[in-house]
Amino acid sequence: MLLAQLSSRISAQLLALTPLVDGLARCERQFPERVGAWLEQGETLLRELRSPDTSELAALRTSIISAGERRSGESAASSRRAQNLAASTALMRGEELLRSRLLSAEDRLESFEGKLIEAITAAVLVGILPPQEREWSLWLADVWAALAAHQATRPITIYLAAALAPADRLVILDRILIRLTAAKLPVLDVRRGESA
Amino acid sequence: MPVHPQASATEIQSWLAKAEESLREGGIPEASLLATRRVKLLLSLSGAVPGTTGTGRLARIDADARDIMAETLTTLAQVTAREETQLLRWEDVAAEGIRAAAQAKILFQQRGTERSAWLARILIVMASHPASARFAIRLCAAVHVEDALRVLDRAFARCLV
Repeated sequence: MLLAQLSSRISAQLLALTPLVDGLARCERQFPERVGAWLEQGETLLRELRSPDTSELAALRTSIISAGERRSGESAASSRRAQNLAASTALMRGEELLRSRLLSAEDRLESFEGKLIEAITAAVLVGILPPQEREWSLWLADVWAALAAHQATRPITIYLAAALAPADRLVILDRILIRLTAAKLPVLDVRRGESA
Repeated sequence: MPVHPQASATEIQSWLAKAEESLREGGIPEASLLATRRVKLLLSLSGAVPGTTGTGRLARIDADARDIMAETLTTLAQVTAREETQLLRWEDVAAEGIRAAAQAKILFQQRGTERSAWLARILIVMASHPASARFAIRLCAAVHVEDALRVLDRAFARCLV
């Protein structure tokens, strides 16, 4: 799976925790079931990544089911409490597993982003950044092509092309150029004027 | 985000929810960690955790809540330190840019303009001069423009010291 896609899907999964916890605060009875469903979604996500943590998420789900089984002489309220406790413990561990995957994906993307920042800086300095005359996504492709064509920036593009999927490269390029263009530096306009 | 050291479990619960929301809005991954801390506290409040029923229940819940508060304050401090380390890295770049711009004699004083407007002009001047351009462009490519100005401001303070 692409790093950017992975990062965004895990982020969305982690964001889904808040309404779940709000439900517990409102004493909603379906809390253990909802945690089970949340873990199952996380499991699907990690399975796509072929992550060994998938089995741990499955085991956490099992622990919730098992805690909900009523022992002889146990009251329904007590069994429910035990299941809530098991669901909470499972939720905490599940969150930890997913967050650690998210942080490592983000770290990886950031390290590549750092290298691309150097290339973009060099591109602006040598004046090879193409003018932004076309639609944003097409411009991103133009910028990448310009970086790949110039000797000052080509080595970084070769490195990034070997390390990242094309979509991930475009995601980090997009982040950098959004920031750079937001700064409205006249130096970018001058280059545009020179190329026109 | 202040919280009283002697805050009750309920006050800590609402403080936790606000801290979680603030991290979520900032796109900080630890927001979900705070959500799980809220779960821990809710369980304690509901009496589901052993020791949170019967005699001394309230004292035990408050003690649990304060433990959770302490853990959360540590998490928040770690998040802040991580963000600061990131900005500090770019502050070094900004400081190098300021030194290069000073040597090229392109810096000018803040006279009659607001600090942020002055910093924005300085950034543009630095990006336009061959001596300092690479630092300014790198900075603008790496962080959002608001952060770039903040970093530049701090770098100026550092250079003056």
